[in-house]
Amino acid sequence: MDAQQPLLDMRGINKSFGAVQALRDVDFRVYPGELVGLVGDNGAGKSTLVKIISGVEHPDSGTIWFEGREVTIRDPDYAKELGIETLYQDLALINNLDVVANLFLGREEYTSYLLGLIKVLKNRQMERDTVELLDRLGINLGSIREKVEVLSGGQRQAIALSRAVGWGKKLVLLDEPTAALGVREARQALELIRRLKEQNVAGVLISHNLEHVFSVVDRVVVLRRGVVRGERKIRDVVGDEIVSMITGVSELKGLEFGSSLQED
Amino acid sequence: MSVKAQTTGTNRLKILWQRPEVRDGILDNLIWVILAIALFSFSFIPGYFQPTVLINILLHSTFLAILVIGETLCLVTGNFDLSVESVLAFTAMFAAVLMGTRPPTPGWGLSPLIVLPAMLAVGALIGLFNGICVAKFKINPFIVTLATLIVFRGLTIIFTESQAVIRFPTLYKAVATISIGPIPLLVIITIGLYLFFHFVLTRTLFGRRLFAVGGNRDVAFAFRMKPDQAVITAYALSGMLAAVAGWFLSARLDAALPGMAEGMAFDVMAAAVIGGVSLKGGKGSLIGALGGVLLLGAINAALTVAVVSPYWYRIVRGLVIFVAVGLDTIKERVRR
Repeated sequence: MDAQQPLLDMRGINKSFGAVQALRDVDFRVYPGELVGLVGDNGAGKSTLVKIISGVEHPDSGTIWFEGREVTIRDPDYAKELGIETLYQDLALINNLDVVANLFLGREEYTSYLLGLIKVLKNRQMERDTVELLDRLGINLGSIREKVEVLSGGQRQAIALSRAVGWGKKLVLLDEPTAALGVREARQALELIRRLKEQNVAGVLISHNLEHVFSVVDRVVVLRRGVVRGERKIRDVVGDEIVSMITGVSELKGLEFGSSLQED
Repeated sequence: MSVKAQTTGTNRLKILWQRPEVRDGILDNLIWVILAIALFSFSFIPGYFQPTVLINILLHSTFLAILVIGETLCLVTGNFDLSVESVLAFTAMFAAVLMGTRPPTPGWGLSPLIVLPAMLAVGALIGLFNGICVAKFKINPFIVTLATLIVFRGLTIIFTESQAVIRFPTLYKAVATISIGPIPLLVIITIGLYLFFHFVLTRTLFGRRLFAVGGNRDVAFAFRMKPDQAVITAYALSGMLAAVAGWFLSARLDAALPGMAEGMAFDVMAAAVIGGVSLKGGKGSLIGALGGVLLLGAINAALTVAVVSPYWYRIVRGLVIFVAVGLDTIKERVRR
């Protein structure tokens, strides 16, 4: 996979908020179709990094390449243009609209009449595309004409996820997608995220729940206090090393010290 | 055997009920059931169920009905427009002064062909002003439209120093004098406007945007649904429709009066709410709102035919609003 050109390649990213340096010389790479877990304690800089990718924040220094081209992601609209989609924690659904309308939010299909004065929605076509998309992702919602306010948390999550991955996106940023879900719904959401790979969509998954991260990602990157402390392919992870990287305990030799005490 | 057949029958009903388009369709049009019940009850009032009375209900409802279209557009975005009645009166007076020919009423004697587009433009401009204040300057719609309500009523009165302007050119009045068969042209145009704007609300990108803004403005903005533009357009259309109502009402009266349509804003809001349009935005249909208009009209006619004291009208209408709001709460519970 390393031989391949990265989809997203960030190098030497620095970002400060006043006196606080949120990111320090961060290198971050995502390969096409790869799912990368971004983990770290609160305040480690995960959200800042994701906000830079989605165009909400701008780095103080550093360069970003997307599909081999150097880019300046100046705003979220430009990020969307590039094919970078963010799954918001609050899902960003409009409750009084139905499933189809939410999936096509801001990208409605229509026919123009009277010099564009009247734009008639192609409801049939959007319904067909919705059925096809949900089938492809293996999501069953009952009726697609249902207003999303009456759907369960998991179903709403599924809609937001399918919208984020569904329309030819290249990279999806998933910020704590399972945080607000129950156990069963979280499992369904993870199943859906796993299916991203089948769609050849790359993703960055931020989560506090390491179990969730480990169950879906290919590679995990650990941030601590704004610095990349390490990265591992999931199949190469040994024992608790990720936890150690997150907490920094092994570096202090605290872990070994503690265990040697017990042995005595 | 028969028990089994029964259960499959109710099951089939249940399955039908679970389809959102069926369930929402029934719930959103409950107003028509109520209207049917109301008309049935009123039919016991001697002299109520005559074609002339029914056509009169329709004819008297047209002015309110047209204002309700614009109001519904604004309500769907989560805003509202109190100024419609003043815009109606102001544009009617504006047109009257431009056209008026005979003394003692003042006038410039302009042709209706110039005056009509001008009055529609004036209505749209007032709406545009409301919309920009609400959407761009984020001023509370209650404050904005209350101010325009008062200012334009004042301007209507100042215009002619509180005089009525009467007698308009035939071309201007034609819309209110022509009937096709027994049905007045005003009624036909109003039905046409309802069909057109129902289509706009349910089938066009603009309609989708109105509902999106009313549901969640921030999400609509994030997804480039142009929420501010949608709100401003809704207000401009509301102003223009108020001017249409001003034309129709002054044509029917053959007069523009400084106090015309005063207090109508409350009926407009009441009709929309009775018809199931939510004050919180994002919910409602014009078909429902039309049901609300007709219910108010039917009740008014019943009170008139039964020779009830006019003082009771307001009380009855107020009670109808209470019932409507209660019904809305029950509906939302059934839905969940």
